[in-house]
Parts: sequence; structure tokens; C-alpha cells
Amino acid sequence: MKKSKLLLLVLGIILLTLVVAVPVIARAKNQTEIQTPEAQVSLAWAAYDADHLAFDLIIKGDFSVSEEYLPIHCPVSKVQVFDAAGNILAGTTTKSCRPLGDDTYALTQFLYSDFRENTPVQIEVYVGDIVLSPVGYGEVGHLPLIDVYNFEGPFDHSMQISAFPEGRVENDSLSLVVERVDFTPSLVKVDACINLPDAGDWIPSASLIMGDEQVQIDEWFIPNFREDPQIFERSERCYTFLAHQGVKDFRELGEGDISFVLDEVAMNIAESIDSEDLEKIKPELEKYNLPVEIDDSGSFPLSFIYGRGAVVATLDETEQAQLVNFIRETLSDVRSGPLVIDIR
Amino acid sequence: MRKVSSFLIVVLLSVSLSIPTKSVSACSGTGCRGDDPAIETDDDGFACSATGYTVYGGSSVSGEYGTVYNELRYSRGCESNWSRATVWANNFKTKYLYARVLEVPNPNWAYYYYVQGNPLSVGHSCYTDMVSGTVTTRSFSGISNEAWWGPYDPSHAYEG
Repeated sequence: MKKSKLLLLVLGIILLTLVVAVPVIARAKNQTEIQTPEAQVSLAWAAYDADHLAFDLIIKGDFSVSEEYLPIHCPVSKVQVFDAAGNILAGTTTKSCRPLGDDTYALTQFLYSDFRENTPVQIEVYVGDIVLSPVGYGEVGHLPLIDVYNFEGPFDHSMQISAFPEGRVENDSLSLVVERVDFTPSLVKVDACINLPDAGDWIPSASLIMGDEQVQIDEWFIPNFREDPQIFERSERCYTFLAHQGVKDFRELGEGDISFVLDEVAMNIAESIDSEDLEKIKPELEKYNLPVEIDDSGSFPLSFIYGRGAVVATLDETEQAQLVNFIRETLSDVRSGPLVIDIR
Repeated sequence: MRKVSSFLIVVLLSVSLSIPTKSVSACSGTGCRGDDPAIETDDDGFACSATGYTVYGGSSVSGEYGTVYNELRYSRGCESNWSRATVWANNFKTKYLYARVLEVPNPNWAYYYYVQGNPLSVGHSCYTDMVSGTVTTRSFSGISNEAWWGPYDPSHAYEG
């Protein structure tokens, strides 16, 4: 009798433990699970020709992360394109992912491959699986994969989505060739080569004329600089220019309505300068009792422009702003255009 | 607390009494991680920044705070990258400017730097220490009046 009472007591305790503890454990488990947001992905436009596929995607979702991490700059981690046999179509890719506000992102991607034989029939978009950067120094975080979205073709194959303008335009110090231009309704990509005054670190400023409006180039980059660093020894340098803010839909513009304009190139000011440039600004630095000694490498770090080192502490904000402007004006070298090439 | 510590470190760096001096050793690729491109040198004894080129440039408006120009810099001599941010247009609210860089395949190798002014004027600029220039790199920048790290505008990011 005593045994059965004891057994009942033990069973009661186990039952009670399960009733109380299981929900607590389950709740604790739920708290450690990372919440993944929901995403809506739509294929706004896609078309291809013999040598490339281009598409515009719109991604919507609240991808906000904890304050420990910086907000993500693009919710898409991977895009794959397949042919009818299910093979991945590989090739060179250029993409632009940009926030539009209101939890909406635009992704434009170009995939360069031989599409004469291989017809692209499916675009697969991976949303999530994103590395999160910490606000300060610390370990990176991870936003898990949210979902994989598939968009089936057929995609448009009848449209002219590229232009290959002929000819070179030049003035006394610059010349310009536009090698190709690729369009989507939301972005224009221009591959152009500029014959610069020398092989230095020149910064181009460019724009598009679309109908009766001038649209500034938002960003540019030098492709393949890691694979071919020899490009920095040559004065002819090739750039890719991307315009998306204020771009007009190319399908709504007529012949001769789009031009590329190289407005100017400006010599960049590096983080340190050589003795020749130091001589140009030395008298001004001495007015502020700043050190003017070249280091062993023959260069002079411009600490006061970049907020580094001791010099910053010796200048008030007005003095520093005046000095920054003086140095930029003294050391700048601008070669102006405009050089204009009609692209469509 | 960590944010306050980071702030104090940067302030201390800014008011340091020592002039930057040249490092004795040269660096290349991963060996340049965490070094100042204006101070560290390549094998030929040139500052990394002396063979520096901007390989990406992009400007964008950061809300109501102004316009920032983001550059990914590449040193041919040191095979390294760093990020640089510059105020292109400002208003009375522009107080903080920051630049960030990270190696995409090794994202824990990341550096940031910021400058503060009240307000920052056009032309103010800052740059990060270096990461390896042999792998894809992300460069991003920001401008604000609230805190040095934000509000972060992801449109300033570039990977290449």
C-alpha cells in the first residue's frame, strides 16, 4: 500500500513537472529562434538577347535587424538563371541593389552569357542568408534564408536592350568611346573608355541626357581591377557607369533621345601626397604651425583632411574647413568636357 | 557602453600628441589588415596610398543630412583596399561622417572610421584602415546628425 502511494506520488510529480516545464521549455526555445521576416518578391521586367539577360526585381519586406547590427544593404544573397534542361547559366554578372524606402528594394541584374543556344527559362532568387555587420567591432551576425523565389519564363526576346554606339569624341585633354549600353526600365549601364591626361587616379563625372532631362550618373566602377592591375599603368581606362535615380524608361524614348555625357575628370587627392605637392601647400601649413616633414617613404600624410593624428587637435573647425578647401583647390586638376556620344 | 568606448577611443586618437610615423615593415594583401594606408608602405617603400586608386565612386543623398560620396580605394603597390567617405553637400545638421570596409568572404575583417563636426563642412573626409585587396570588398559610408553609425543608409554600399 505504501509502495503504491509512493508510486502515485512519483508519477504525480513527473506529471506536474511535464505540465509546468514543457511550456516553459517550449517558450524558451521560441525565444532563441531567430525571427525571419516575410518577403514579397516580384519580377518587374526581364528580357534577353544573344549575349545577355537583364531583369528588374522588386523585393518588399521588413528586414530590420537588432540594434547590434547595421541594417542590411540588400536582402538578396544569390540569383541563379537556368536553361530548359535545368542547367545553371553561368557568366559575368553586374548587379545593382538599392533601397527605395518603405521596406522596398530594387535589384537590377545583368548576366552576360551566350544565349543563342541556351534559352534562359527560370530565374531563382534567394532572399535572406545575409551576413550582418556589427555596428562597432565585434562578431558578424547572420540573417537566415527567408525563401527561394522562382520566376518562370518565357522572357522577352524581341526587344532591343543594348546599344553599341560608334565613334570617338575628344577635346584637347580627353577622349571618350562608349563600348556598350545596356538598359532596363529602371537602370542604364554604360561601359565607356576614357583616354585620360595620364595614368593617374582620375575621378570621372558623367551624366545621361534622356529626352529633355539630364540624369546624373549615380555610381561608377573600374571592372576587373583585381584581375588586371596593369590597367593603372595606362592612360586609357575603362569604367562602368550606372544611372538609376531619375532614369526614364528606355522603352518610352525615341531614336536619338539618349546620350552619354562625360562632364569632367578630376585628379583625386590621396591620403598622402609627395614632396612636389607638399611644396605647393607648405606656406599655408606653416601659417597654422603645422608639421611639414616628409616621412621616410617620401610621402606626407594629409591627417588634417581626414581627421587623423595630432594635427586635428590644433585646428578649430573653421580653420580646418579653410585648410581642407585650400588644399583641395591647390592640388586639384580638372579637365572639363562635355564630351557627348549619342547612344540611342 | 561599447559605443561610448568606441567614441572615446576615436576621440583619444584625434587628440593624440604623436605625429603618425612610418612603419618599418612593408605590407601586402592580408598583411595590410588594420594598417593606415597613408603610413604603411609597399615593398618599394612607397606609402600604400601613393599607389592608391579609386575603383568605385558613388554619391547619394542621405535623408535630410546631406550628400556623401563613397569611394572604394585600392592600392596597387600593397594589394589592399580601404573605404573613404566625403561630405559633398551638407546642411546645418551634418555632424557625423563615417566610412566602413569589410572583406566579403571574411566579414570579421572589417574596419570603420568616423569624423565629427558641428556641422561638418563640404570636403570633410575620412577613411578606414586597410583590408586585403585580393578578395571582394564591401565599402559603405554614411552621414548623420544623430550618431556616428547612423541612421545608416544602405544605398551607399558597394561590393566589388
